[in-house]
Amino acid sequence: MGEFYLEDPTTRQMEKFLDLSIQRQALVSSNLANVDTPGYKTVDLNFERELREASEGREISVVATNPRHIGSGPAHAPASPEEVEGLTIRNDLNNVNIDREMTQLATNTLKFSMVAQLIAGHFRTLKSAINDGR
Amino acid sequence: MSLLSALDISAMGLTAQRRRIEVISSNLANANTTRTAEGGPYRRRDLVFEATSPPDPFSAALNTEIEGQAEQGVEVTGIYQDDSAFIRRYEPAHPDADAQGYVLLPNVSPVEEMVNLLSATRSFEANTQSINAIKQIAQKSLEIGR
Repeated sequence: MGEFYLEDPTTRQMEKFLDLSIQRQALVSSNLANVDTPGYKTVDLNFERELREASEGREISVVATNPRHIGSGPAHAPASPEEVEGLTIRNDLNNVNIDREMTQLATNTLKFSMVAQLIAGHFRTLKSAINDGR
Repeated sequence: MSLLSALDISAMGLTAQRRRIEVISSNLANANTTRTAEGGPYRRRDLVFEATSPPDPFSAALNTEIEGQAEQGVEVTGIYQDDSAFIRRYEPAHPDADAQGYVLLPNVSPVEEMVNLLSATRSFEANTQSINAIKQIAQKSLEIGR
């Protein structure tokens, strides 16, 4: 038998997808809360790049500053949000576009539900196998 | 951690917009007030919004350390008085009229206030939508283990 089925790469990647969706949700909330703040600039994640980097194993670990340190296991590097280019800047130097944010909000929720359902299905399959298909 | 901080941020957005609505109400209620504690007619008030870190100081500090520029909440950091000129209206019978019979009325423009009120209401609704989306996401993630 190959690798442990509970930790297969697809589940890992789906997990990362959910993680990134939640981070993106926080950024959309931030953009919406600051829709009237002068000088605020829209922030977002480069979702595809973050997901690719996560699957290619861009990992960070705790620095061992002393040879006797045990160190930590690898962890995924946190996503880096960036300002979104190409949005119209209003007179108060704010560039939050409420239509863009509401669309992001809707698609983000849908995508999260989709992937969450996939993961749930994956675990249902496992459970069914554990219970001899009952 | 991120979902809860997203909720906090939306809550900050709701609070800020509600304060804005309160100030607009005060402006509209005092559109004809000619006497105030500091003397003279009522001056139109407005708010200063500022992007700040989420309320939890620990996670805010952690976020800034590891992620650099992260999600930001919003806070009302000041109320200022609009120093534009008062409206002068000829009303010689008014007790606050000057020698020429003119009364100084507040620099409140009902049209401007109504536009701001609509804008604040819509922004409030946008934050509510955001909270609903977060609730949906949380609900969905609870279904994973079923």
